[in-house]
Amino acid sequence: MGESNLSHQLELLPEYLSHHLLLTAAALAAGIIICLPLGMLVTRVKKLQWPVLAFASVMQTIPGIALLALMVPILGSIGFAPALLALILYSMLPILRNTVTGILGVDPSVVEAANALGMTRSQMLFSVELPLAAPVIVAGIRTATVWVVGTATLATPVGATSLGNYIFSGLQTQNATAVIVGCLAAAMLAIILDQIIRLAEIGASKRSRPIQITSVAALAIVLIGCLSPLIFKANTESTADRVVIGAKTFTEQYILAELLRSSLRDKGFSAESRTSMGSTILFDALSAGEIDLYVDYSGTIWTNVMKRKDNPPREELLREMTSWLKEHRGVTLLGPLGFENRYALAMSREDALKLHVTSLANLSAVAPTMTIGSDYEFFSRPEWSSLKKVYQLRFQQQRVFDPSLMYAAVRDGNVDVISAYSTDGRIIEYDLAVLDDSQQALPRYDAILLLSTRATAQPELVRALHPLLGSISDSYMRNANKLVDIDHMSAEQAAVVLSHSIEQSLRTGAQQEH
Amino acid sequence: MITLTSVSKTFDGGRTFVVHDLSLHVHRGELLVILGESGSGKTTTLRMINRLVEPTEGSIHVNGRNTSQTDHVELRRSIGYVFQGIGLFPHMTVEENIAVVPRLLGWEQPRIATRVGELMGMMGLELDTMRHRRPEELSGGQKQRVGVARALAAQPAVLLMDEPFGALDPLTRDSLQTELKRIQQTQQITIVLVTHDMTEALLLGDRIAILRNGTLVAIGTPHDLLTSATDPYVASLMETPKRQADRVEMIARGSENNG
Repeated sequence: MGESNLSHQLELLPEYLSHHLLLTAAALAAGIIICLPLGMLVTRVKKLQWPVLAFASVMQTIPGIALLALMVPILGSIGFAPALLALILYSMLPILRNTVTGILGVDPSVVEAANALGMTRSQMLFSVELPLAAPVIVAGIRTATVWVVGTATLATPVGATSLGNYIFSGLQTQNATAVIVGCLAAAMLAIILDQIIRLAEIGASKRSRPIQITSVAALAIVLIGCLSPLIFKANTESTADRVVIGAKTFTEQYILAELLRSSLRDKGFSAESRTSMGSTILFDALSAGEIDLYVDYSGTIWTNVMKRKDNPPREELLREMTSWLKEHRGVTLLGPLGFENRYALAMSREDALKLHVTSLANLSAVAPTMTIGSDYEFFSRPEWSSLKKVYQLRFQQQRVFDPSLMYAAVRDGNVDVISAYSTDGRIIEYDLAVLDDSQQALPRYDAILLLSTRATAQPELVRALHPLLGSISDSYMRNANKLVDIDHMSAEQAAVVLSHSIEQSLRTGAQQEH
Repeated sequence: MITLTSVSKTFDGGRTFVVHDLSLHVHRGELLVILGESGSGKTTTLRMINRLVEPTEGSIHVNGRNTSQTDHVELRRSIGYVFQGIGLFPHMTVEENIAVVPRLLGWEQPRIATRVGELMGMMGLELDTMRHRRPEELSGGQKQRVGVARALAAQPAVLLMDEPFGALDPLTRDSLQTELKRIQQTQQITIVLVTHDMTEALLLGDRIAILRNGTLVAIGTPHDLLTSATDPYVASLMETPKRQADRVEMIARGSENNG
């Protein structure tokens, strides 16, 4: 299985690598085009030096993933553009700072001589200062290259394909091979680009034609070689009628995206998926028509998008949500898929029995001595405040985990309670007890299929998706999740299993109707 | 050739003057030495001639033209400049360093090549072995030879030299001084040389201008200054090389007696 996994991962390499290189190369090219002149300007106009360098430093201190996510609302789009902008900002500091340091570091007697010989400012810049500052400037470009190649892996959550797809999905689905392939590919790319730039610099300073030619040829080979899948793809497929499926950053979403993609492909659509995207980024992207469909959860939309605090019965909630989404966001709620994936507090069955905790109501008595673990979002979501209020919950400590590590934390006793997802396969596997929400403090989380305006306008597409509505039960979904999280299958393989289960139940359902 | 008329320079808005009410005239083909202690304003005076420093008051004419009305880039290209720091371009070869100004002036390549060959010969730099060397491969004396060649490349009528030999060892300095004198005589070039070295001033200068605290205290031929200085500062200044020469002679005689 390991070997087939590896070969499966390597099949994805041309696509991920080409997008990654395109993003990196574009960001570096733009960074150089912006920062070289800006750096030169700043050495001439001393007043600008502090503000410009301070701006670049601030950009650098913003964590890469936050900077990338910030660009989405700023640009109002997802994918290549916000990722590119963030990476350009990220590349600025080393290029800018080294350009300034390099030019200001030129021997003053050389500058004086250039002046005294009657060079104009631009002649001095181009024939004296830049050539002498070149090694320092190139060192800055090399630093920027390595940083940008690394940071570009974080472009995945804003919807730009990159080598980060390996890392994000690999971490979520416990696929170490994918993570390693992603990291190695990024590291190799960084080293190769760095060395090519170094070679170009040596060629320039030694004025050796052969070295210059070699470096340019090497760069051309890398660019053409790695970007060819993109060029080929762009020629063979037109993007206009391609259906783009979105997915968030957890196992279930990867499986559902694969399921949607394969069932649409089977029906003759050209479909691609953008996985590992941030939750709100995904909804905004759908609303803006940048992706065509994805699966969200009714509770998430109700509280985070519609900002509602009440908790009406399921039918009423779905009806209201459907019309609100249509009216305010131009999004079609095609219908629920059948299963629910809600937040549920869970703890080890052994502890629950020992402490006589069966519901959230009796948890409040023991909670002050306990530690609760959660994913990145939960503690800042309205559900958490509502839960605390309704059941008077107070914990000794709160800890945040990556969802994939949270279950192991409760199993190993690092935390006592976690905010589990009700369809997670690990609930069964780790023998966790899901605590009863008798007061219904947590809203419902029906998986719902959301479509963009563009997708809704295609009757064949809507018709192709209809059979999936109501077809996935809680147990089907939990089982599919377990195949990936526990049994280390790929999301594609789990989607195949899930699709078989669905077909089987449809067939037996149809037989029963006869 | 060069005329300074009531030239003053202040860097602090008039509280102190680095150069104060200085007037002097440099004849065509003459080598004028400006002699003074550090802080006497000698370098500032030199740098005002090619507008590396702008005078606060007064006017300067070079070859009949008022420098303040001449484009400073054009002015500097027509005046050679050599300084103690030399400032050769480290990323260029000897040949390229010498060719900088002719290139800026847009000379044809063959003319540049001929001129570079001529200058390297004049400065005692062997063309074939030296032309492709970088400054880092040269000795101090060789560097300054290239510096002088670079300053003379575009055949300027005026050459400004700011303590050009200050950092060189005595033997090298001596040979470069001799060559400078020869170049001045063969090329008919007007030279203003700044130094604090009394001996250098006496050996090189056709005339010597002595600056103190920004004002001209005396100007004349070495002979005049040595024999008929009235100012006590100038007189004591002129005494120093004689005193040194006497002492050297005494030591030489003493060792003869001993031997």
